[in-house]
Amino acid sequence: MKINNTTIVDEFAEAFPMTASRLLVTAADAYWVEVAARESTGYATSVIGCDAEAGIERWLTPEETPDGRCGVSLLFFGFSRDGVQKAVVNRVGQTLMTCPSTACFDGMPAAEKRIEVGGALRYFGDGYQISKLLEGRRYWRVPVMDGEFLCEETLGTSKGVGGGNFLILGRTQRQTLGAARQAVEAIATLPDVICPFPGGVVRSGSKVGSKYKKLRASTNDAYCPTLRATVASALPDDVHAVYEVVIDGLSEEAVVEATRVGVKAACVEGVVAISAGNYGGNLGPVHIALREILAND
Amino acid sequence: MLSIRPHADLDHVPFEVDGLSPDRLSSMSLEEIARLPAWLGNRCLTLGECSTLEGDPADEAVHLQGDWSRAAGIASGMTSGSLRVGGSIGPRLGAQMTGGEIVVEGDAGDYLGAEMTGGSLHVHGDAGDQVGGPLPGTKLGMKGGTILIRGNAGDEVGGAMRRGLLAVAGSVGNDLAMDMRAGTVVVGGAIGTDAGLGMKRGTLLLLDPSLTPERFHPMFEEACRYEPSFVEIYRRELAKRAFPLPKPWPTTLIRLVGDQLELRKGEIFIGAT
Repeated sequence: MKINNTTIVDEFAEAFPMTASRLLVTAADAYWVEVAARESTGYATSVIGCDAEAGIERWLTPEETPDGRCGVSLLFFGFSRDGVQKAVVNRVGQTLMTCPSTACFDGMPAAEKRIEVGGALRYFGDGYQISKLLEGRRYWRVPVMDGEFLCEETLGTSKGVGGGNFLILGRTQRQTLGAARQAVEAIATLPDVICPFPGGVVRSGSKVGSKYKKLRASTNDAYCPTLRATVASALPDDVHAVYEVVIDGLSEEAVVEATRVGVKAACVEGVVAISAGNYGGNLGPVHIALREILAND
Repeated sequence: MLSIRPHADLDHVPFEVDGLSPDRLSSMSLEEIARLPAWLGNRCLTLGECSTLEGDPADEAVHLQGDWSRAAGIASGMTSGSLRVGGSIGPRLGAQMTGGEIVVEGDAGDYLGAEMTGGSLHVHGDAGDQVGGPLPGTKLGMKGGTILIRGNAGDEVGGAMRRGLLAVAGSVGNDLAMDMRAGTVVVGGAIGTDAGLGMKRGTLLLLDPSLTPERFHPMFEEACRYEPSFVEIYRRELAKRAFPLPKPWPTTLIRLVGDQLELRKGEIFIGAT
């Protein structure tokens, strides 16, 4: 299969179930919204080494936020609800409550399963915190030096899918990086998904295991162009750079759609092939076959 | 839907029917409802003797047509369903209700929603005294639910209120939220004397643009001026319920704290000019 001049390799991405939560964060203006978004989703690329995988789902207009200020929708993923709660409480406490003018709201109000966030952070108010209960939703007002930090008591959680991915194999680093960025920008327009790595792109794709016993993952040598003559390379001769786009989503359908849109956007001049990362089907139950999802395009 | 219209001669004496609420009537036949005891002054009659009944109560929807301004305690203890009052209604409407929805197209009497714990009350006209307050002989007022009054209300609105939302688009009388424990009261118009006196916790959002910090009792001190995010959430909730909102809605608010003889955790917000 080819899209434009790019070969779609007959491979599948291997994804796995996760637990997700959505936060709506508002602030006084767009500058502080972005600061809050970047800080709270920082160092959240992979649960291999981070407490969560997180990213910006989309920017929100004042009409879309609960308190009428500009805001952002953030998604957080972890392997368990307890794990997500711990990560979100720490991140909200250290990066949102500390960030000037912010407020934090539940982005999944209909969800049955919930994590306690404002309810855990309220104690920072040292007894001066105030709760407001409106339409079944409890908000905590914690006094801080610029007024008060408003945070919902609980946030909804849902099942999610992590580890969706595709690999962009290009002729030059510049061309391949351009294609990766286009793919991430296309995915950014979609709901329910994030690309948790820096700028949405991974250069250090990994394989499971290592020659070093302490490491759970190590460099994906088959896709490193510098190792073409050293290991059993998976790269065609004219490929000199590879980037991976990793996708986490609130459903398998959302991840499939993001993969489809991202792959199509990445099939540009200089991209030789698009492939996907898997572990032989043994790691995750969600298999996203590239040719299958692109068959109708 | 069940429609009930009182006979015209009810205008001159108090009228009370125990259990006249949609949830309780829904499992009864029209004949059973007609046999409910109805106190007309000091005479005990039946509801059928005092009013005309039509329709089917099974869907937990009741429409009170005509003038019910002498009728007391209607829908007290209501748990679910909907009640629409076409005209005005007397005291203790929805007292101690726990759920359901009541809409009054005219005025409502004293003790509207007294001690309610859930559900919603929406009055298009005016309401009397002690709205959302405690019933005589008890200590605490409403503990949940929503009361919205599009017109004016009387004295002691929100007295000893413990939880919930109470909003009055027009003016209120004296002793607003006296001894308030918690909850939120919004008033769009003028207020009488001694607002918030004795309040321990809770929030008064007073939107009359002529109000200044000096207007309040000495037991309330100005804390700061800021833009609290939670107020916008309340504004949107009121707008969603088609409640008439003051225009312009203030963004920067002055926070006064009191009662200084109590916990100092009650708060009064007024617009900052």
